[in-house]
Amino acid sequence: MEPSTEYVAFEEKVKKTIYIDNLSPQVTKAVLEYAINQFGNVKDVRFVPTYSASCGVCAALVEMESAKQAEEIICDMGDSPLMISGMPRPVRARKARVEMFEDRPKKYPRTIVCRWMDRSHQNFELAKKIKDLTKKHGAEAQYLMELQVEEEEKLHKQQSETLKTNYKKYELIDDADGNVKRLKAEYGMTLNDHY
Amino acid sequence: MSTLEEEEENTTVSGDIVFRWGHKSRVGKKNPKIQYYESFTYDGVDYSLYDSVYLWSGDQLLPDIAKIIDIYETPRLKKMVKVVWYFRPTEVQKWLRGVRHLNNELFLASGEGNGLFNFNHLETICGKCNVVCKSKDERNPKASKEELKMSDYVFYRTFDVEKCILSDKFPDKIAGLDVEHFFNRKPKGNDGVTSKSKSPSKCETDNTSTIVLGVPTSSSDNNHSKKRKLQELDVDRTKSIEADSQSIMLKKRPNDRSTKRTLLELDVDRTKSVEADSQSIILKKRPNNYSTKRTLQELDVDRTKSVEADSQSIMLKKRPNDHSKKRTLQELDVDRTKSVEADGQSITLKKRPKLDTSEWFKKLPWEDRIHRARQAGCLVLLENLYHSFTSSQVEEIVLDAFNIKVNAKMIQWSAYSSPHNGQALVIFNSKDEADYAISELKTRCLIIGGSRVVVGSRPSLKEPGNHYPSKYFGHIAIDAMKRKHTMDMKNAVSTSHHSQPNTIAFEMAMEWWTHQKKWELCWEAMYKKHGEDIAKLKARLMGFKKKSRC
Repeated sequence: MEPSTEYVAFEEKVKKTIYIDNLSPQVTKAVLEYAINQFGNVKDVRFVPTYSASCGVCAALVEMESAKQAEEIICDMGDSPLMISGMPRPVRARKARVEMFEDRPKKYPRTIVCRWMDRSHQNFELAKKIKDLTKKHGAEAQYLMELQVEEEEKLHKQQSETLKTNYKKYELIDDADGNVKRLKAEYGMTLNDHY
Repeated sequence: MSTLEEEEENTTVSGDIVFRWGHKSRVGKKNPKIQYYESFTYDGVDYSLYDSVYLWSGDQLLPDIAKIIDIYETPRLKKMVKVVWYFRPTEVQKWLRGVRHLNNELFLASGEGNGLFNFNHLETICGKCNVVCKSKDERNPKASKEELKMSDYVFYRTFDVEKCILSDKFPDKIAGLDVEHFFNRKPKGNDGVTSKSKSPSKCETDNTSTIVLGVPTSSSDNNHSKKRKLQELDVDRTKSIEADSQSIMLKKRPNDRSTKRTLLELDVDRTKSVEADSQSIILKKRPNNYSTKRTLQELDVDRTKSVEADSQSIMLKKRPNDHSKKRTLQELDVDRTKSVEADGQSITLKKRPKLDTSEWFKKLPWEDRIHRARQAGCLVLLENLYHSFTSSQVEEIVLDAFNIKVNAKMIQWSAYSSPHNGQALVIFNSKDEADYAISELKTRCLIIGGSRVVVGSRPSLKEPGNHYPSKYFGHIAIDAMKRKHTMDMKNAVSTSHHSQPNTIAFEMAMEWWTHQKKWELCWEAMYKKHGEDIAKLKARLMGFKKKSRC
């Protein structure tokens, strides 16, 4: 069965699109557009909504002018970290997939078949097991997400500390500058450097 | 000079590595004290001119691959080779720019300049490398399938070291040497011909790797065995049981029952599905050909993944003890379809012609609708759908399964979505409807496409609005810094940039990157395991289905 023409056209669009995530929630459409415009011509930016409580990551679908541009940008972002809005956490880019899009056409025009299975059916236990497995997997995924966010929090704190201490060092040096000047004035000395 | 002395002259032993020169070729043009050679033996391996070799300098991670184009010994008895390099794709990633390449592909260096060739000490050679050229250039002898399979690496493109571009055109000379030397070696004698031989047994055993068939020697003629083996090939080639079953159909020889059985057992291994398993089991129980036909159609059943063929195949069975099952299945059909076609052919989805008012009013945006529904208790999360479903298809499914018209939205695939589990949010019209749906899904099983069992539940969502406590980490701001460098900071915040390697921001970005990559691998591994678990259960479900029809 051939996929519908609508779908084929849609796939073309998908090829031109980049899926970017690890965005800060503060990034707006305009900021993202401006950021990616540095590398190519952005045609459209759409955010991907996440409804589940556990996943805190923001993501967007950015449609470029051509598939080649999209590929190049993905390569670039893989080589060196791109930071949007000046955050140290770089964004991640990958190829978009059809399933990422909100409004997508049907691939095949066939109808879907579904049926009910009653308790009396001999496969019922097995089907029930599959249901339980799905739930188990969902719980595992949630747990993994929690672990990931925990680590992110740790990294964030660590980096904040590092940044703060670094900054304190600079402050110290700057302050020292002021102190030295005052001392110089006190003692009426001249100093042999660029002051 | 006696032969013994000659040998001693040629062989040098340093440590445990034995070296021996091969044929001498010529002396240097400018300096006749330089002796060129055509071959040598180093550490037990014979190398000759134009071989592709690995070179390793002791402090690299991976060895380099190059082609020897000159072998010589300097007057000071230093053994040297002149090599032209092959580039690994990772080495020229910067200029590749998203160009696709094969896993084991190399690029031959060409052009002029740095990186084309080097003079290396012979001791850096650490082994031979089987590099096959699959370029379609007419000067290149075509490599056979076996050669390509056995090769370590392949190449069909050149990388110009001067212009830094990839091309599949080969120049006439590379590093002053005719390009023919870089292509595959011309076959000596009839070697190239034998690989393309038409003798079926050789050809097929090569291509079909590990088939060990216990073919009974009772097979009458050569043709017969060839056909069977060819059909085994079909097994590999098409990877679908349909073709297999077709080939079985063609054989109507009753005395071949045993071979047929073993073939089918083989099919089992090849296709990796439990369906064929049960097929062979069923076959053992029934001695007549009629049964094969029946089981074949059962196989078709799974292939098409629709219940249509299901009922068809059952209809064809005229066995008395199946009668009861047929009846119950048809009862099921009756329940499900709204129009029962005469021969009970299919359960298709039919939309209700009843007027529905939901399309009359303008709809609110999804975010609001979802949150309202959740508050009212009408929101249900359906899991285990196919990712390729669209929202309207989900609505059709709910309509068919529950007779309720709803609004649904497929959750868009994100970086963390499970590839095995497509999810959708469904807004029912009332809490009761939602409760009914969830309880039905719990007590009975809704199966889509023969193997997906739908799970329904009430989802836990994020709080609406943008004021939720952001779980996004990595946003670090220092207010004091802002005070001092207000202008710079303003600019920095409003723009995005790749950071320079010497800033602290770069180090931090690197840390985030490592974190990211590590977790990507974790997720990948977890979903892979999930896939395996699901596949096992699915296989049993499909297998059960087969046995239930015995």
